[in-house]
Amino acid sequence: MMLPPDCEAAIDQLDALRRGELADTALRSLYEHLEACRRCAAFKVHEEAFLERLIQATRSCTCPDEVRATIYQMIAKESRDN
Amino acid sequence: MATAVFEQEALPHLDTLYRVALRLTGDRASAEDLVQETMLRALRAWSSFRPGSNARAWLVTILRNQFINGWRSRKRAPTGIDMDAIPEPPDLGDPDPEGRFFDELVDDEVLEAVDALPPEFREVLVLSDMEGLPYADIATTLGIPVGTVKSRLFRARRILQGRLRTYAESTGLIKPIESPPES
Repeated sequence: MMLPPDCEAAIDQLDALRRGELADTALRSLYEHLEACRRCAAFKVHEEAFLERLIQATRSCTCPDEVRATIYQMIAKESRDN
Repeated sequence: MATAVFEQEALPHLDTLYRVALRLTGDRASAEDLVQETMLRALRAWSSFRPGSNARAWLVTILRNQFINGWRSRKRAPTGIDMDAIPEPPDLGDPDPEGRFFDELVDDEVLEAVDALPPEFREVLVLSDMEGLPYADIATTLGIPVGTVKSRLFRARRILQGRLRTYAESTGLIKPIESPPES
């Protein structure tokens, strides 16, 4: 499926929007497009739901305490040896 | 003194390193070993770290190099992917255009789908979308141009979304997308 060029450009810019890297002019132009284009507006919402879920899935996973303890010991040993 | 600075700069990133290691190696014991080896190597190479640069990206680069040099050959065959089967965004026939079904999935289902991605796609997705590294740092870490980071990321998201959708459809969380009637 081929997307119209302005839709492709809008989809390309969504990451920059999320990262706060979009200049004012591009930002305005993107929002105008999103207001007019149901497909891209839906894509934005869908993509945000997906990305939020990815972050949630991984945030509960932290470095185990035993690994931290081993690393602290390793650093202390290196400090003593040098 | 150097070890004190190392502790201050490097230890806050242990969770990131562990999560990335877990996604690269696929099991907890290997991830733990990989993080420990990475930290030892980083400590010994600390004099080469440029103060003011991104310590997290520097550590992830070391971790990935360790993985490539010593781990990749032991673990995980690349998963084949039919590129033509990757769904194009966005589809107006989607019965769940807002992606509400993502919230119905449990963490393990999401992470298993991430783990099943081909390595070159999994790397960029984990570093960008799960750990929030800037494109430029990912490019440096992986030794590829920023444009390649972006294109792999786009593909990775489409593959992963397609697989999660297929899973959600197979478990009845959402209805399949209906094809338009042929005229």
